[in-house]
Amino acid sequence: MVGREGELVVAGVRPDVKEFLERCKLNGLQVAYVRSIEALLSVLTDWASGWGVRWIILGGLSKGLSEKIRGEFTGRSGCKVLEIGDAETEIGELRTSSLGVFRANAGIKETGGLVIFDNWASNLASLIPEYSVALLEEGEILQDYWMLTPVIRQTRPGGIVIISGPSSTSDIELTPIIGVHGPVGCGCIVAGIELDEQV
Amino acid sequence: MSRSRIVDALEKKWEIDTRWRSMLTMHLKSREGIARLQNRYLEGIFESRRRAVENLERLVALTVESVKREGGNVYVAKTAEDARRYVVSLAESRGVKCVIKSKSMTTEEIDLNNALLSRGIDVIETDLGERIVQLAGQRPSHIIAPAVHLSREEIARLVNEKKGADLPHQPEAITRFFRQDLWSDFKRAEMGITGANVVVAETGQVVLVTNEGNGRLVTAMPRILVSIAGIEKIVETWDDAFNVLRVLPVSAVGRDTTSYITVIGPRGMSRHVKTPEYHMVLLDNGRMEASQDPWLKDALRCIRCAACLDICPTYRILGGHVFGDIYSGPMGVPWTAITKSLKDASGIAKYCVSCSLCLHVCPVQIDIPITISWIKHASAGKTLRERMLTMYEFYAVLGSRLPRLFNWLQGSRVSRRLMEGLLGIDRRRLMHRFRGGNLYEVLGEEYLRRRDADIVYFPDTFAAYIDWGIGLLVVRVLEALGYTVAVPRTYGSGMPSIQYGFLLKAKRVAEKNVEKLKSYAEAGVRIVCSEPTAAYCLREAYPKILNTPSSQRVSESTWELTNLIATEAKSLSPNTEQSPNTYVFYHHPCHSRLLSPGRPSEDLLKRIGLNVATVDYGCCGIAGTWGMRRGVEGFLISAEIGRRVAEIILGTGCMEIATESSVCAQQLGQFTGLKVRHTIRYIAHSLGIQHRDEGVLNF
Ligand code: SF4
Ligand code: SF4
Repeated sequence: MVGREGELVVAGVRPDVKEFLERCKLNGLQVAYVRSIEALLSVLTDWASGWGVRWIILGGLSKGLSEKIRGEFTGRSGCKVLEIGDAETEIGELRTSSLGVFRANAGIKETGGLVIFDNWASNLASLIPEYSVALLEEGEILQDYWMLTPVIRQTRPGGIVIISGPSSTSDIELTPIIGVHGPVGCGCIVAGIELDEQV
Repeated sequence: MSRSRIVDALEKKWEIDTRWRSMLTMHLKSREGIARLQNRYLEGIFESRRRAVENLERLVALTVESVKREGGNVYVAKTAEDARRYVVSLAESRGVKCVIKSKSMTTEEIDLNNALLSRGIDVIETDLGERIVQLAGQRPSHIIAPAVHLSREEIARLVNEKKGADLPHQPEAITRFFRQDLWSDFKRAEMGITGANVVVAETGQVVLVTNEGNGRLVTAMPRILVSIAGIEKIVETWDDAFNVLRVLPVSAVGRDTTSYITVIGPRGMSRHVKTPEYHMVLLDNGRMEASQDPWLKDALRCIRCAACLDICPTYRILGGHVFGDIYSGPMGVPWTAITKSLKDASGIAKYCVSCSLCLHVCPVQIDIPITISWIKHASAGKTLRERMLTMYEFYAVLGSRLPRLFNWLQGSRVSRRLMEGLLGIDRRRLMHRFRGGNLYEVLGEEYLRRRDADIVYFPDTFAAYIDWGIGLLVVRVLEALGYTVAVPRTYGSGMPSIQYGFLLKAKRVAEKNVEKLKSYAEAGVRIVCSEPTAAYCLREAYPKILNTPSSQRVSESTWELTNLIATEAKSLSPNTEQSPNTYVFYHHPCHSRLLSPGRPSEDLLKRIGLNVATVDYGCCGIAGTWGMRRGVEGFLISAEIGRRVAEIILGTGCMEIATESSVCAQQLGQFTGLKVRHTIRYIAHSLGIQHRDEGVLNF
């Protein structure tokens, strides 16, 4: 059930989801598609161990989903798990060896963007740690930016972030370098299940 | 032109090499991206920006209303001084000790850093390139790549000296150092200041487009957040904003998107601080007035993508510290006029050589070249030598009557020294030879007065007076293709007058030519030019200078020769005699890029069976009479470009060059040493009219 980086062809994945994940990959993200919470946790632990992180920072996830991730990491990998909000004061110290896991509210298929609406916990979890992973439901993928207009008009978010890749620069002799002020590595897991309903 | 600044810039060979390579890379990426982009996005952005400029006053009011409704503070600053005063007093009243900033040209425009520093408030730029130039005590030399003029060695040396580090000159190590070093500033700063890529009036929010993540940290960490935006950045709706966001990164660096798009406003989500405070400063500083000015208004559409800097031949050589004020390169000229004065703008307008490439690449179609001509025209400081260069056609007519004398003068060392002293024509510039006589005499009355023609040929100065061989060949090819051709006696296109800002003279020439051509245009007869610059004048420049229905009709009827042949002469086929071993480099003249979509000449050459290579490096560096001018006034800069272009052409392994511009031929022949021919020669050969080497005097 799990499609990892480089093996995106998962039977039955909707074409728009596949296209979205391909775009994310082009933008330099690791990508996966899952159809169960177990598969999602397995991808997360895999990536976390690949990146060698010691801290998991959760932001903007539902209570049920946070619990599941907390349980998985505390039990198996020895990583410490923090939730933004509980640990507001500590997060600034967790720039290295850390993985932020956050809930994206929408994906933009055309450009491979991950959208966060009005959620400062998701914003910080996607920004401050060394690595970050977005969790998204497949039904939340939109064709292009313009599909956000009615959502913005209806929900009137105070702030929005659209993430389309790891932090990068080419400011020195146009040499591309990954990881300036934001995450060095990013991932996106698209779920074919409802994420916020996890209990 | 400030001679010493140019001399200094020309001495920094390494800097020129780096900038040339960087600009070329960025240009090629941008063009690839734009070629992939659907047309509707380009149409969308043009329309959004056009509407925004038309409705500037209303959009400012709408933004103010939206920000207030959302609970934020908003201040419309009439001048740079007003904006500075507002931010400084805000910082002082809140007891701010440290300000962190994300990249913002608008804050450069109002010189905010110095104002804050002078009040004892620490200001830290957090964009890597901006931080580097801040440490170097310089200003950005490029609007999106501020430190592009510095080498890794210089940057490492600078950081080691200023920050007491011991870094190797590796971009990765330097970047890692700043990630750490700036983090402590992000944590300690009480105030964050951002610029804006877009302001959305309907919700009163600011959009930032970044890659590094510093913009997100600046908006997320400090308690007080200030966004400073020029009022031209306002668009009405989110749909308009997305039009900009979709095109901006593509035109800037060829990417469909940047790593981050951050939207902030009074209720910004990232404010985990207890008592967040948000301020938006909307800066006028000349913009409202410019929106009423027919020459400057279009520049307000600018989205700061920098595509015009990357393609500009003189910017590539001189860089933004010479060709620039706060805003650098092509867009810097109208923007200096808007935010400072015409006088300041004219100081840098002189570095524009009217190649028109900036218009060609601009995603919002700002006609910077003609605006710059107007700025030159409206300001003092034009030289006598420039005035003499506008008499180019007069010398050509004289040369056509006295070819032996002129050819001798052009070949004699003594007279070249004299010409350099008197006319300012550099003695190192290879000149075209005069054939003697002119095209009108050669063709005779029949062509001059023909009324039943379906094509009118506009030869311009070179094909009419310097070398009518090309003009005659054009007529013969068109006739072989079945057209009836008229060649009424016309004047040279007047490009030197446009180039050096003598717009009254240009207007007189344009009026005369339009008068000669309008009856044909009105009768539906097409006007064909073999010289791309002539086609540019008829199609683009005349309607802007004259703004009359007749000039518009002439413009609509004008074609570039090869585009017409490529479009209509379906019967052209390979000629085995000159193929397939003829490996030709095709040089695309600047003005021709603007006029003929696609690559008609290249396609034609391929259609007749030639093996063709081309590289999109931009301008060859001669730009009409400019590249003939003495020393730092033209030739030396032109030669820097010419040598680099020659290296690229010779690198393809081609043995000959095809092009349509007579001056490009001069430059390419001089710096590559290869034979350069007008594209029409290959076509004539293919049609069996004349061997491509027969009758060549110049190209
Ligand atoms: S017309 Fe050419 S030389 Fe002038 S500013 Fe534009 S790109 Fe530069
Ligand atoms: S003038 Fe056009 S090309 Fe230049 S920065 Fe502005 S939008 Fe981009």
